[in-house]
Amino acid sequence: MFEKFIEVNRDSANRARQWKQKTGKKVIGVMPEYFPSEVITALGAYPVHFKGTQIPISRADTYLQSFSCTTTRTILEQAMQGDMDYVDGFVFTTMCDNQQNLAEVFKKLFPEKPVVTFMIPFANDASVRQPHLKEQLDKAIAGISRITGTGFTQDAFQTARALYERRAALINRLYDVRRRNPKAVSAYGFYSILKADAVVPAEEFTALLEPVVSALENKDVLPVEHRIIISGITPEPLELAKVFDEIDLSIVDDDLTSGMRQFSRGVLSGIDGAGIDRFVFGGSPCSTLFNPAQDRRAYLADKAARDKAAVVLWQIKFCEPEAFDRPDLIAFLKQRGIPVTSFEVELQMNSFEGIKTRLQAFKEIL
Amino acid sequence: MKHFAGIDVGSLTAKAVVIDENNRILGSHIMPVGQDSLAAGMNAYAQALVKAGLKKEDVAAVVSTGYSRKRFTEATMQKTEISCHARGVSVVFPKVATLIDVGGQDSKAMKIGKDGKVLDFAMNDKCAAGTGRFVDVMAHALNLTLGGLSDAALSFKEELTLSSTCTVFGESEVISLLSQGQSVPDISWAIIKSIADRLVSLVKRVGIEQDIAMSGGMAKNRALVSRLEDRIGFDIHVPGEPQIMGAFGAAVIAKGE
Ligand SMILES: Nc1ncnc2c1ncn2[C@@H]1O[C@H](COP(=O)(O)OP(=O)(O)OP(=O)(O)O)[C@@H](O)[C@H]1O
Ligand code: SF4
Ligand SMILES: [Mg+2]
Repeated sequence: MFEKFIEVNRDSANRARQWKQKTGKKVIGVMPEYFPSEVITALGAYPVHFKGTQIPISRADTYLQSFSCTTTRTILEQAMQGDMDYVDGFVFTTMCDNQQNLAEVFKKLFPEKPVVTFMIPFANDASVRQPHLKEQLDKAIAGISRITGTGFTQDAFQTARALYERRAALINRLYDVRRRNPKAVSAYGFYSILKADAVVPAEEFTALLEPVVSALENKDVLPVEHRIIISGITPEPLELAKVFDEIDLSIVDDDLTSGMRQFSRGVLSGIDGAGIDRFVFGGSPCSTLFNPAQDRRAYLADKAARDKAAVVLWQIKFCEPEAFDRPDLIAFLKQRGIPVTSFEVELQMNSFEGIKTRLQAFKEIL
Repeated sequence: MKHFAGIDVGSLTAKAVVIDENNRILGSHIMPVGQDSLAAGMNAYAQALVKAGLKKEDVAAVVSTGYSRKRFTEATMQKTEISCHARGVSVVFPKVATLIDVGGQDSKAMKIGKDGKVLDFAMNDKCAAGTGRFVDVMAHALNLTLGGLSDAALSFKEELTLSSTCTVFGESEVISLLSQGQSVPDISWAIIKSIADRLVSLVKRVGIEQDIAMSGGMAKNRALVSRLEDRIGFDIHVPGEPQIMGAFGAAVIAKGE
């Protein structure tokens, strides 16, 4: 059922090259979240998101310290090994220092590929953020237009919006199926789908996913023993999701930047301050965003209590935003009586025995 | 009378314990894992049966635990070493509230409730610092046995500090301290302090209670236990044979099933 998505993930660079050829569109590489793909699509380009891979690092360490997260290190390695040759330009968001740093390295190493930076502000409230975000969005639109040679039109934007709305609705249905019937879909299958979304053009993705979701919706509801919410940035290395399936910890929902955090808010409503502010800050709390109006600890504790779930913090080593949140988050959840455990991974890891022991021990105490 | 067994195959050693219905240990065996963890576990089990004067058929249930627990398809059940050490030690010290298990590759701290139930736990991350492996490498660099390193450390004269917690850098630091003419006891004590410091921060993550115990092979290191007691401020209970507590707990769990 998930084979098509797994295949895409296995060979994403070649798939992207093929789609580029088929559509004749320019490719914009997105690093990695919080920039609206609907804008890129409206400007006539095909967005591909880079969230790190399992590629062994040999060259990237010349430019990034070994204590940078492996997300950024493997992204750079991909670029240096020519895996991004088909990308015509990049959009970087400033969601963390590592990404910001990476944007500078890209500008130096690949001067022929324009880099558009979308700055996400640190401000106390929306009224301060909005004008800044609007200005950033306008600048990004101008930058992407220069790459694609296509100007912004309301018509194209509305068409793109409708497309992403269909995609978001479908993904939300997928999340709903899992909430209702967690055993309907394996953790590995579920996150293989979301991972493929980074590469598959939105129309194709919707067409591929629709029959899968309908089939999952028709599955018999099975009893669940151990309900889990995973929280973090992105569930990589994806192979690790299989450990949850193997030891029968059912992921019922997530709190991930590349997951529910971006699907919990709508698509970009319009090219105005309020719209882009809602797009960036309107989802569930995220460690990479500064938003005093939200409390991730309370959000996660309430969610876990409602879902009758335990929490597993899936942490990428040297991910600063998550590392800053973690101690406080764990203490808060424990105090509220929510079982919680955490582990740290590097993207190139391929042996998960230690983490398996940790997760199984966690299951034994649930 | 029914009999039960536990097999604990860790990263370094295989342990097996055979008990009776009263949790009495009838036979136990410890051996290195070597290349084949399944064979090592089965061997340790066979030896423990010989010592107990029993045959496989006499054993009603077996629980496997440790790093290679999944390989024992014959076992009635597999449990993590975290649950097994907790259960084993709680039979020996029913009041135990905090437990530290330090083996060859992992160190674990547990908060324990009634009947040896684990309420919370913390584990070291992948690296070897803070585990038995660290001491093994250092003992080798100093040309000492494990017991020898512990004895040497207890007779230290001068306080030295290892600046690196990493095993690889630690080893070269030990060699350079030797070449600077520092004494073996002082260096040994510095090694013990370094690993003890790591363990203290690990136990703090689950909270330190007065009824604290230690298991795993590293609990045989008297210098380490003594340093931990100083840092923690409580006496640490160490079972007679701490290294087999995981296998013993597994056997006790087998009895309950
Ligand atoms: N007599 C001794 N004196 C001091 N230390 C000892 C002694 N015997 C064993 N050890 C220590 O015990 C460690 C092995 O402990 P143990 O057998 O509990 O590990 P394991 O269960 O194989 O590993 P793990 O639980 O990490 O997978 C060795 O690294 C060694 O340092
Ligand atoms: S893993 Fe964390 S630090 Fe690394 S790029 Fe993602 S958010 Fe930034
Ligand atoms: Mg062990």
